[in-house]
Amino acid sequence: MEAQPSSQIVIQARLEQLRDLEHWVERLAVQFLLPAVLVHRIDLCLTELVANVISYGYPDGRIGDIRIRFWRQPGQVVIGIDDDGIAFDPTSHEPPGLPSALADAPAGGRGIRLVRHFSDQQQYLAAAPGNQLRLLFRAAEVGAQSSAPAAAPDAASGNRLDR
Amino acid sequence: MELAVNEVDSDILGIQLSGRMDISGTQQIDLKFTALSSTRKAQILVDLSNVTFIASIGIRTLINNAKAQKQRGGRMVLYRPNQQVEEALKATGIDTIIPIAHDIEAARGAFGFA
Repeated sequence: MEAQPSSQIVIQARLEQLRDLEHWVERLAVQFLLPAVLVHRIDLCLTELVANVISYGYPDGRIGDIRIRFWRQPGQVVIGIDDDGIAFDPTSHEPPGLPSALADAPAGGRGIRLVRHFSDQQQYLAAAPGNQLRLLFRAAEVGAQSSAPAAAPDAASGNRLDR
Repeated sequence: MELAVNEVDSDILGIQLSGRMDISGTQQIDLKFTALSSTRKAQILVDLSNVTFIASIGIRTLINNAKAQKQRGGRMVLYRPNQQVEEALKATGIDTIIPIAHDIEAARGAFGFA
């Protein structure tokens, strides 16, 4: 049983919708008095992961729906990203190693590295169809005013990747 | 995003970026940034102090142009990123391949000027 989300937004899988997502995060910050550093971490992880779903999750050209949720648990906040695109588990995807020289630096592959750095844990569960991803962010001051019942995300039995 | 050019001194071309370096922000400045930073040999100081956010696509733009500039014999130095932007640059190892400077003396040193 998953806690009821404190806030959620459903966007279409279009890059233009990232602006709506950015504004949703800004509203979360105000509504839940989130510290600026935490807001940045959430903002960056969502930008990377949702852009990834939009760009690669629907190779057939279908415009899917992506649901993003926020809820609090003691000592942490949780972001859920559910999509109905093709299966992709970012927790099992190894990003390229860090470059040792500018000439060797690959063009891409940094999004997942940023997500692993800026979130404390990622949990993945394949859905039918689609994907469910949970990002955990440790945040003691936010968890202290938790309004949601403590419950393990339903992705807990899926792949876990600690920071 | 916005882009402004200023001559730091006779040796260094300053490019000041402002705003949110996400997908749409990076697209807004990408062509102009590339034209200024990597189409001819120069010492390029990219002022990031007014960049509030950087995503992987923004990092990709910095890398691609730093690499192209190096191939022309010049260099790019990143200048005064805020704490969150610098953390993203360090998390992806960019600080080890493009110098980051927080004052003009350090920037001049990174370009190899005395």
